Amino acid sequence: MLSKLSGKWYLKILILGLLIRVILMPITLHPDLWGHTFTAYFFAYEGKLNVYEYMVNLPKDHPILTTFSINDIFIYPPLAYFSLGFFRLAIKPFVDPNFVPFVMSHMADLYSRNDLKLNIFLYKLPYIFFDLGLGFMISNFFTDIVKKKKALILWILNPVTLYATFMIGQFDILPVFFVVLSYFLVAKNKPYLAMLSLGIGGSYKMFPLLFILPLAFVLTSNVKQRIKYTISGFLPFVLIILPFIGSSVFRQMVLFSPKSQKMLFMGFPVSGAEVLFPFVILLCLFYFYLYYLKNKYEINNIFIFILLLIFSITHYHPQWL
Amino acid sequence: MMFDQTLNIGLFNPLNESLSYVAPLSSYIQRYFDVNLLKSLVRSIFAGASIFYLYLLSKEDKILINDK
Repeated sequence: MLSKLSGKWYLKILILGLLIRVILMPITLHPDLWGHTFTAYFFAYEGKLNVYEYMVNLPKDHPILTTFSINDIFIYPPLAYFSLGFFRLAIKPFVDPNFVPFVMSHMADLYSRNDLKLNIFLYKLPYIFFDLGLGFMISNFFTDIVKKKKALILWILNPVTLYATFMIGQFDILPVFFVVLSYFLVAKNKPYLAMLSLGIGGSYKMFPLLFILPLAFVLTSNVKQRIKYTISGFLPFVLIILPFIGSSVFRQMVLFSPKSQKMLFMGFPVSGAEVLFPFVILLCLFYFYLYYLKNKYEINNIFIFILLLIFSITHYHPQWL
Repeated sequence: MMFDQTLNIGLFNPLNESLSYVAPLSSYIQRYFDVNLLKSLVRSIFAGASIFYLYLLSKEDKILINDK
């Protein structure tokens, strides 16, 4: 296998990227990682399927509640929970099963653990596959070898990815992977798969759902076809949240949590109690513009436009970049 | 990112636990300047840049439409 790789144009870039990531992963830690680790533990070690109900019913003296507020531990859709849980299952043979319970109850003594770096490293390890997949997918948008190389180098050395994914340990790389995959599938003339990919991305963090309508509008001007595309886009998200939608805890923690509504922090009052949200107004304007547009529109501009809108007028976090 | 200690130097706590005691940048700035005002200014600059690129995107689109 190594001899096959040795002649490849991307080998040096790949080694450099892996080296940077492998160095950064074990030596950096953000407290948010524990929220993800604890919930993944509930899946991998305790077999809990509905983590939202489980967490809200934890006894008040449970060690996790001394460190975290119940509404801050895990506010993401179920696919994020299951994926992080599966990642935890995959690394189970390599870690001490008492590590997470120890951290839950002895957060202050965390740094006394010799296996801390190993645990942080293994926790972030699955992200490497999505990250490299993204790098190669982006480079595949180009046919010229020089441009391919440049694209891969830009991604591999992208400081935002290194910071948000491999230093902070956020899993935004997963929805980003599915957004880029969606663009890739459009380029391959597979519109339904592209829409499904957006829905899967939106089942990790909900921002890719904002792309579904505009992409459906741009792919075709036929109304029936637009409806079919839109349904395909929302289908994975709906199917994944369906078993949980009856739970008021899930609705409160994920769908209507204050953090999910950060995009609505900016508002112009129109009465004592009601406001107009600039983000929603501008998003609607953009959607209507694309709905009535008869001409070709660059699909990557849809993604860029909505993301720039988020970075213009919402209260965003560093990993959103 | 520049103001919250856990998002900069504090990230390297696994290397050296004492890094968690390093005061955040905001505590130094606070002595001379209102930190929230500074944060708002930084956000506004980024917002301005984002809106500029939004404008460029819409302009690019117009060129595309005129070309057809």
